[in-house]
Amino acid sequence: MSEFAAVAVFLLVGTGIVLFTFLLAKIIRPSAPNPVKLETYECGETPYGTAELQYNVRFYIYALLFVIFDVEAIFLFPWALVYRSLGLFAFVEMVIFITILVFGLFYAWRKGVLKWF
Amino acid sequence: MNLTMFSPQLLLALGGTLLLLYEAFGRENKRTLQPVCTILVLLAAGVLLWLSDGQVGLLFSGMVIFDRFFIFFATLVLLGSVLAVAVAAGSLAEQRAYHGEFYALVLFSVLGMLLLISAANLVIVFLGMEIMSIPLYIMAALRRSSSRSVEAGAKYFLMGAFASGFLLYGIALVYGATGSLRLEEIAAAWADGAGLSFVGISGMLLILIGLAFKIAAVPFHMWEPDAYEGAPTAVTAFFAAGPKVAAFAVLLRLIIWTFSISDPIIWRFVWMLAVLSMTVGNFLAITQSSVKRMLAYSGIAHAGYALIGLVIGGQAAVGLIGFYLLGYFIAAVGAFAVISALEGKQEESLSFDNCAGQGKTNPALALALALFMVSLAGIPPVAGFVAKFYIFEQAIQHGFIWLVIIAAVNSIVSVYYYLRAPVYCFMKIPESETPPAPVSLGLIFTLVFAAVALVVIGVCPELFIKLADSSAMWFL
Repeated sequence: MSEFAAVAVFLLVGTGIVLFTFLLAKIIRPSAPNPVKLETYECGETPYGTAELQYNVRFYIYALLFVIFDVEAIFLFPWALVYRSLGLFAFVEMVIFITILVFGLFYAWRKGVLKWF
Repeated sequence: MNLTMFSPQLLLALGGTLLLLYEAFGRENKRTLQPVCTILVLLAAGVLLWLSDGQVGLLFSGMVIFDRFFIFFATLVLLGSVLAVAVAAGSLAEQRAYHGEFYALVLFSVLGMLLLISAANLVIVFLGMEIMSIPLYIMAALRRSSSRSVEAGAKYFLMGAFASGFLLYGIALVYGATGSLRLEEIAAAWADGAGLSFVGISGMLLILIGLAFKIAAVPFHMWEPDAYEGAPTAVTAFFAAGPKVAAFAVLLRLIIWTFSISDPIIWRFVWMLAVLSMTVGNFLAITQSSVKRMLAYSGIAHAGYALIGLVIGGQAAVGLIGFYLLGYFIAAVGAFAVISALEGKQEESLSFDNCAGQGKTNPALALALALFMVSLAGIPPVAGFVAKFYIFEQAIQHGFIWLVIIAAVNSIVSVYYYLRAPVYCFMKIPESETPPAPVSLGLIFTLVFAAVALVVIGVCPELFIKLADSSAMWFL
């Protein structure tokens, strides 16, 4: 049970630090409320309209494709680190893995996913 | 490491990927070649499976297992998929649900089922479950123009994600209690009592609930009627054949082998699941006006009957459930195939009223429907009777008299709604003329195969019982 007790202590200390910093900031910082501070953040642009508008579904498909290749990159890093000691077998395995993903990209491409209009 | 024991899965992955590319780049004859290629890949996977018969072993440092159990249940899954794809070849385009991706999705889903059946590690159980389920969600929503189909997909997805949550949480707790994800090590921890803590038993129950969602046992059955009814009928046939068998297989592997059923809490839990599933499934099936929905509830009831095998427990349960599923899924796929043909071009699912007069316009289809219903109801001399009789007889021998009495009463109730479809077909006078149903080559293949198989299994069951029993010889 002692190992789990360490986790509990960690949890408590972690929460405590966050609460403490918030409290500290509240005491120290000057208070200057301003309506601009409450506006939606849109990368520095002046916001207009409401946030509840319909998004083009293509954003999601793009995001999906991005996530797939993002995850692929995560798999590539550990593989690249120990590549020398793994040899040819690992190379072939990774080529197969990437080929499958590239096939998926071909499919998406051919189906017109990459065209915006 | 011997890769030939993993070759069915590899072939399915390769076939699925190539079919996806073919869908994107192929030009002519796509609609006929895709189902043919899919069936060939499935059959080839079956051949590869049986080529390695007799070998046993753990692959990929104990992640995947190859044994007789895997061969038997994988054969059931492959067979069911072949039958369902043969139906889909003709009916998907007819019902405006044709998307070439369907065939690639079938292969990916079957790959997941095979992984699930061959899992020797809880991580692979989860992985197989997801690879199996995600294509199923897409398939349910295949008829994109119909809001019912989209609803079916959304509901199936949400409930499936919920079930995955249960499963994963259970896996985490079992890992916490036993310190291992490997089934053999968990089994050892369970046997010497180390896993039998509060945490371990909660984890096991959560895993059981996750799997109960997949076999649609009451009270985790809510998604099934909607998913079955909304999906295109050929897809429903696939749902009844593949995922159920795979989920039962992994249930057997986990409950019988890993956590021995002798534990009283789990025993009571499975007993309750079985009784609830057959009673609720049967009584809700009576009130249905759609044949497809009635069959969905009947699927819930049959999951309940099959769970009796799990209550009996021990190695005998494997043969009992294997044989029961063999009888069930052939009849179910056949029945859905007939429904898909009788629906023709119409988008709503077939109601009993639509059945009226079919005995005259489509006598062969109506006769086949009658045969499948007789088998599902468990009337001799077809497979459904033998399967039910065998499971009830074993349950009595093991002293589960009350369970058998409840099951027998349920069986009698179920005869009413099963025979309603043939009665409407042959005895009711239709209000309007029914057009002759479109019949494709694949449909004929499925119907003839299913009908012959049901009669053969019903007349000489010994061979198949022996085959199912031999699947209990798993690698320990």
